[in-house]
Amino acid sequence: MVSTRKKLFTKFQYFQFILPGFIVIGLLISYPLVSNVSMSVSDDGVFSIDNFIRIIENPSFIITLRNTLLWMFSTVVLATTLGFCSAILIEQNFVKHKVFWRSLILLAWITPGIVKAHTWKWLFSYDFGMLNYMLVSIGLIKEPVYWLTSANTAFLAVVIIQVWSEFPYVMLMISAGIQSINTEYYDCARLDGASYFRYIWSIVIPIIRDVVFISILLLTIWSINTFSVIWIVTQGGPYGSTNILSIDIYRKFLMFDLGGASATALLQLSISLIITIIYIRQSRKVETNA
Amino acid sequence: MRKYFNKYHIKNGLAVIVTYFILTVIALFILFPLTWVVSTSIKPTNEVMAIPPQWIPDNPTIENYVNVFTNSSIPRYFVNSFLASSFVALITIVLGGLTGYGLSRRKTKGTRAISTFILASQMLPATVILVPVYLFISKIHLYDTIFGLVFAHLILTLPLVTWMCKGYIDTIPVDLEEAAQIEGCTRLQALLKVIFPIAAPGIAASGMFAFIQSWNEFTIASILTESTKSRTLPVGLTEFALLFKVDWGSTMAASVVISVPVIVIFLFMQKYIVKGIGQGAVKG
Amino acid sequence: MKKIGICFIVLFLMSGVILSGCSPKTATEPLTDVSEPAEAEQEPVTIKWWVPNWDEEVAKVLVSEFEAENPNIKVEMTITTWDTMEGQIRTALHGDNAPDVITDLESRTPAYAEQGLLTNLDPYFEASGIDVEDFVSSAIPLNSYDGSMYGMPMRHDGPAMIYNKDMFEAAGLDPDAFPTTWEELEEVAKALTVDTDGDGVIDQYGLGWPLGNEGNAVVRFYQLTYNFGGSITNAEGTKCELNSDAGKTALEYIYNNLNVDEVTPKSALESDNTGLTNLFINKKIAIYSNGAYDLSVIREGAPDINIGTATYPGLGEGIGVTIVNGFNLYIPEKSNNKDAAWKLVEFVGRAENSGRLTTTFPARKSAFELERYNDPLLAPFIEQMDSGKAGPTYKNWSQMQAEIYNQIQQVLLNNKDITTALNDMCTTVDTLLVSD
Repeated sequence: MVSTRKKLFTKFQYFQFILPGFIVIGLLISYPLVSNVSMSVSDDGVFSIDNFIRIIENPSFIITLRNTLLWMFSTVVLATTLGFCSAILIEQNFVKHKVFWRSLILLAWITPGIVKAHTWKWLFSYDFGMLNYMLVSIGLIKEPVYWLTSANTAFLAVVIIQVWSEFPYVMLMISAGIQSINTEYYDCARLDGASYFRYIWSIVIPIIRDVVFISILLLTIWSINTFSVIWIVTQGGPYGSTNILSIDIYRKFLMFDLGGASATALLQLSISLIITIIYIRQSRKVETNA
Repeated sequence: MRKYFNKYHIKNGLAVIVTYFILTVIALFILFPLTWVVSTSIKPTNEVMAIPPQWIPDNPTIENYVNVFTNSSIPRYFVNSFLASSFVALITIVLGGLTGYGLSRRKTKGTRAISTFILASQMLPATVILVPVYLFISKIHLYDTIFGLVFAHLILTLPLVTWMCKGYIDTIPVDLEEAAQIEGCTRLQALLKVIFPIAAPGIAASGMFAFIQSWNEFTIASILTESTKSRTLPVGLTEFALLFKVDWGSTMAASVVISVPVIVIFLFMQKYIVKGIGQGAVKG
Repeated sequence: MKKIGICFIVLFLMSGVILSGCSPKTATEPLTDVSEPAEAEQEPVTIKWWVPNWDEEVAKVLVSEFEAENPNIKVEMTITTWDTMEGQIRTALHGDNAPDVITDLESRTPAYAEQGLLTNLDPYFEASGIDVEDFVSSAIPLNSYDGSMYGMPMRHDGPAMIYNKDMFEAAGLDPDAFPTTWEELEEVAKALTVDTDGDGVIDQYGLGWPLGNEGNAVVRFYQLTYNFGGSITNAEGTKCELNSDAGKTALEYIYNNLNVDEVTPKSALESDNTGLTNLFINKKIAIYSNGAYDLSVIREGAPDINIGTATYPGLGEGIGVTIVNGFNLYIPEKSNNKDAAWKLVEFVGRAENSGRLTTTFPARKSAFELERYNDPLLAPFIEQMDSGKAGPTYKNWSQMQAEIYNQIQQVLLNNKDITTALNDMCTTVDTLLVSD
């Protein structure tokens, strides 16, 4: 965009737009944030970083950290890919009943969380689960699998559940983004004789880049904050293989170890912030290069 | 009208088949657990945990549905949930839309810092904000009221929707607003008549998003609501679980019942997404 | 634009009011004098009682009787559920919206009392002349802290062995002679593990363990440790003793059941107590242990099963150890109507009323005289209740429990050496005991 232009609004007028929302957010979050920081560094009014040392010294901390990063990475990548693909496919010209397909996918998202987690756990169950039963009867596996009692399959299981419940959101966001693409771009592309995939890659993706960017950001935050799915399905097991930081926070909260919970939460917050800031920086670089 | 994207005709029959095939696979993935929910909802108690599992019960029954309507507070919780989620969605898109617009149209160091703060506010896990939020809501005497819950849920929805709206508005060229001003619109008219219609799909999507976040939220709602006058559905669903015995049939029946009105709202909202584009001033 | 400006000012002012009102408050002084419960309330008062949904029906009846007896007191009930009660109660006790009476899990009481969140009930017990001796003795430690009572025991129970008599008969065993030692139980379980339809796959297992749920699995493990003469920590609660011989025998026992003799199905590794009940109903396991509440669930799910119950096997002479827990009523420290609240607590705690309210067993010995406890299937449950042990109430217990479960899983799933696992377990538990 060119820089010399008449401003639409004055500086102050822009702030009038920004402020109401900003104040409500500030109002709601500042007290929790302040109390969180203060609880993490002092249990009885005296400043100490014991809570942090206690967490980092725990031998399982490294494994939990690794799980957290792996969990974040795999759920975000899979949910984004699946959401993006389904949005692109549904928005094809020849696909009929777009509203039907979209609503069908969104069903996963409106299913209440408790029902979601318990139903999936049930499906994965060895004795009572439909999944083994179906896979055996269509011949994909010979013997039923103990999904939830081996470290790898249990991790896979919770990732599948998380992706199932979150990719509809990406689909919704990207569908809405695609809807706002101006027809001119398409005309240019066709005149240039660009292939369909080239059209997607060089025209659609750059235009909806912001939407994709925000979807990934939000998925990352959700994914790191998730606890109910893992808590209900595996409780972080078997032997800590699906344990992530948010599960630790929840455990500490249940014991009313508010200092420990707050300290872990701040560690988790810094991880999300670091990742987010790197991500924002990188995408701004791409933006200026483009 | 909604052909901007779609005009890229793929005449290749194979592409059509592949597309429908993949969509069907995705649909089956979505439906697999949901079918189990429906199937369980029509099972009598002694068939719920049968080995081997069965899709179609030997003795299908509607007693679970009867139980939900006559013997539970689910209808009342539905009203509570619906009110709370609607208020949350409404307040969120108004405030988030304005803030998002401001942040999108004025990009300085200051506004970037505000954007980052807004995003960061979303990163504290619900578990640790629980107690402070509870104390806060009690202090302003909104404990056990729908409005207290709405206020608390804004923490979850407002930052995200602000960012979503900022993202959608970023995709709309500033030139359009300027053109409208040159044509004699006031600044606000330009905002309402040009930006709003183009951003409508995004705003509708954000509204749906806020609605669902609030609709599904369990942790905060379980702490801030106490009686039937404010309890919401996700919390209410736990009432089918006794200490050592969960009535899965009724739980599933209830989740089917509460999904139906939401699907209807969705269908309506989706029409709006498409319509928003139709009215758009992009191309006459 | 002006409107937005006004909005902003209003919000800004609001923020000042709200934030200034948020500073942490010191605990309010109790309004009534605890040491001297007042005689009768002159002014009509309304008290709030949080009741779990499984007690709702009977509680309504009790409340109407209570209100008839105390016309000055009105009781407002709020229904809690198992999934939400812990978080909701914890937050309420720390905040300003605590009700006057709460029904909660007994084992949570000592920790709340330690944090000063509950009313000391000693003066009330004394004033009302309640004989503490009438309570099942294993209920006392769960309801008290530092020698004072903080909860009114109401419901109290522990699991016993539940088995399928038909399977015993089919295996040529005497259905009325349940094994009395753990070695014998192992042999019986082997005899009960069979391939009933002859397709080469075992489809009926002898003994079920709930190894897929942290809480359930750890209870069974330390219970078995108690049964082999060990304990979780030393008497002072300063040193972990799970790595003793008893702990080792206990974990070996479960390991052998699962991985050597294979009398426990592998799917037990993802099963909780409810899962076992469902396996029992589906005739996949012959023996498991759970509370008396399971009997009605089994009768409903599989009316054709001939159920047997028995006390836990012992070490040679006598019966084994069960782990007891239950529900009680307590009065939060922040309640403003403690005297009226006590009247309700005392009313519900009476033998005949607590007997009606509980779906399992009341915490009062005199209530066992009630007609419904004549059922022979219930006898083993009652027999071992008095000698039952309460679960641990350490402040850091849930963290210890997570580590104990982690090591149990390492052993059962990864074949980690049992001695090493128990030593690792104890290293962590010791650090948690120190910071307790």
